[in-house]
Amino acid sequence: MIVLVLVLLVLFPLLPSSYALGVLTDVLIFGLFAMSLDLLLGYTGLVSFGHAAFFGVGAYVAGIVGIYGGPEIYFTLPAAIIAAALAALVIGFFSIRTAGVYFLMLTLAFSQMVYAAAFKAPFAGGSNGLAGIPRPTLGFGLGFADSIAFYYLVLAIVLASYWTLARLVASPFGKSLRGIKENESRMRSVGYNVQRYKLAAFVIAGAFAGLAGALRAQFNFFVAPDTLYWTTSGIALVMVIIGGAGTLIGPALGAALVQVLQNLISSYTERWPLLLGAVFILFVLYAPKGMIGLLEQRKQVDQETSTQQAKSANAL
Amino acid sequence: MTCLDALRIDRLRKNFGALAALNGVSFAVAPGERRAIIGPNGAGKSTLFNLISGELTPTSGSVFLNGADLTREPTYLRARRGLGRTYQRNNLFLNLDLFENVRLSIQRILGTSQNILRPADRFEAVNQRTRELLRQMGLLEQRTALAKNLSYGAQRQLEIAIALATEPSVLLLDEPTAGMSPAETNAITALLRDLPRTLTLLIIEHDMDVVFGLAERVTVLHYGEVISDGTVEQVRNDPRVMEVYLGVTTAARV
Amino acid sequence: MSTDTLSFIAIQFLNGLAYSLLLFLLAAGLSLIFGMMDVVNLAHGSFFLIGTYVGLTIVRVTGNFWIALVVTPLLIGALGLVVERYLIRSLYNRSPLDQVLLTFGLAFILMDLAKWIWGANVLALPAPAALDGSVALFGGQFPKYRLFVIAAGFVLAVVLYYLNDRTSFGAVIRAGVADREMVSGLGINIALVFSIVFAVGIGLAALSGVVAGPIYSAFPGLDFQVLITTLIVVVVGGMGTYKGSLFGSLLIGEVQTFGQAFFPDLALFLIFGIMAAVLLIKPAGLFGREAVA
Repeated sequence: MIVLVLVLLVLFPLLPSSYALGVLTDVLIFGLFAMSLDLLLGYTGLVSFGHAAFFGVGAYVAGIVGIYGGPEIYFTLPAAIIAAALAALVIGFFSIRTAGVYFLMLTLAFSQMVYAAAFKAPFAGGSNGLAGIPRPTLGFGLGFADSIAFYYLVLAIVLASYWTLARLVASPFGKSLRGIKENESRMRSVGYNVQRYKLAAFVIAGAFAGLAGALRAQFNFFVAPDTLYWTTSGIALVMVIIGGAGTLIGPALGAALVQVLQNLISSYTERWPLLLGAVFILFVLYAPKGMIGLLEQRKQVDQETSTQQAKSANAL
Repeated sequence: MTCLDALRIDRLRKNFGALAALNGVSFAVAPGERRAIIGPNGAGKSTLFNLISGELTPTSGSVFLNGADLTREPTYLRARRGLGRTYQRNNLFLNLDLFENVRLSIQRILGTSQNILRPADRFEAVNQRTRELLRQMGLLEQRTALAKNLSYGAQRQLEIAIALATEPSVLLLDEPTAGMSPAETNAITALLRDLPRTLTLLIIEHDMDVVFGLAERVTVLHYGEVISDGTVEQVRNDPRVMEVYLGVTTAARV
Repeated sequence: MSTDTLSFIAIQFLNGLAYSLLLFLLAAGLSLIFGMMDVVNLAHGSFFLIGTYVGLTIVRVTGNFWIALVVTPLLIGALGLVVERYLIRSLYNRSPLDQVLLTFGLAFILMDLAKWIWGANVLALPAPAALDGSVALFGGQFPKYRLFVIAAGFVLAVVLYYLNDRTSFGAVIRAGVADREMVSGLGINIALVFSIVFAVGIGLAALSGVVAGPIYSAFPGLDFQVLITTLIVVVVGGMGTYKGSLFGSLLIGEVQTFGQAFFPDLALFLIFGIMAAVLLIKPAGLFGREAVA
């Protein structure tokens, strides 16, 4: 199954549709963004409503470095990751002091502050956004300007990030985060410095979100302040919940569903946000474990029916 | 005495608004001692434990562990200095399996919990220690069950296992046998009795058989004050205790 | 200081007061819903914006601002009853997070619905004729309508205080905020109380929306600006407290107004700075109760 998906992803550019390739590139980028949020939401139990801040910081920094510095990938991506991680360190330092709904409100408020700053900063292009962002290059005349080459770059980075995050959640550190999500006070009473772990998770998630943002800016050659707006955080949250929090692969599936639906539906109607909100509410009400949860339920039902069938077969 | 107290409580007070839950409590526990804290409901026993473990901050007074003043330290640092505790109501990682519940404590004391690079399953020393402790507690067979799916008795044992796994020097047990069947109570009492003498135990308990079976000394709390403190015999014969506590209990029991 | 400067400061102070009282209506509703139901209503700003829009439509149809002022909160409050009954109620036995997510989805839907019905243009609600124009005040001119907002805001603040502090329904609310299980133990129909609380909370948001209409024009996006500012107010003041909502609104409202007058580029960052400082010193907010374990 996994091999099949990988083969399809690798062979996809053979299809002659550049539109479809563009959608898939976006799916991968948002998949990474959603996975980074899942580290907080699904594994640490931190409900951040301001994850767009780091996505946006990554996008802007990759853009600014790309335009004013140079398009080399060795500069643009690390700069974006470091800047996003630093932003997460500062916002996290304040937000982590609170819990539950306060944390949620603070992350939302701080991200709106970053949005306002981008709106006002002249070097970020103000309300017009930042245009003319170059695709990354490797030097020696090699680069990812071509959309197929850029797709493969994104695919490689997203797969490597997924592998890293999957390793991370399986590591003792990742298990500690799960413990914090389950029972924060007990973690304290067995000697965990919970705040440090939360902050570390927040910074790591911010760094990956920054990486996703940088790729998105390079993909579009452009960043709008909207990248930092609450709706971007909201869409990431929707992707995680629809896909299934705490599974990494679920949020990536959620990203695929949302992006593909958006592309399909937007050509028929402008009421996409309305539909997205409705789908989201349906998931919250009836399938809180997301698509992955639904698949697992289905599997269980199948198993049960097959055992029943086996039983009735034996009876005959 | 030259020997350092394992735990010393000095004039500890805790007010909730106008109510004094703890009204200047002082006592000391020697290393290796088994001390029971008894008293009627609302005497301030759980508040006392929460103040010792750092989950509440005292209005005034101090807490010393092995001679070090912990009063201003956060909970996690107290735990690292060797203070362990269990809770009156199970306080577990309900959606994690039994093994993981204990491993979280073990990986913390073995210092691997911040490792980010290798899967947790590959830390053999941690897994080995976890298995040993679970075997000792008689929980090994159920290691893959989610904590929320365990029987109440097994959950109660896990509650103790999580605390023991941090290798505390002082362990606070808040009604370890609450809600257990007589057989389970006996098993827990036996397990606690077999714990090594390097460990100091403080036990809040309502079951007098458990108290008299385990403890060497008893501290009696009543309305946030220590009304008696001594050996089991002394406390048993203390007229004040008979009046406010044991009298009532025996009457109720008979 | 010259008299001009003094008059400028006095006028700004009054502007800030009008703004603060609008914030107070929002914060009181948000805080009430949270305190009672543990739900942070992220659609609160949306109900404010819809309130302005519905008010505008009523004014267009009837030509009367006062009808809009009374009818809009009732309509939106009724909508709140429906939302509470058919959406939020089914989530009471789930984690508070699921309820927040639900209101978040609702904010998405309402945002798009409002755009659909009222378009994306900036729309202003006309002030009632009786309150058109300005009066001379502190050597300057001050709009009559804003004076009305200040007066009405204070009257409402007193009424809310009275309802919360002196009536038996208020006593139920206060008890419910302190200890929900106790209230349901007393044989009070908690589901009904929740419905009323939610309806009143968003009715207040809609009322604030109508009152704000003639001062701040309505446009898509205002819903979230309003939500963020309201969240900051309750974080600074302390969630679930009447006093916190009142003083939080006054502080944030005045700081933002004076900030915009003197350092227009920094006004927003000023209130974020206040919020950060409060969180560092008193994480539960200025009037918030510390959590008791």
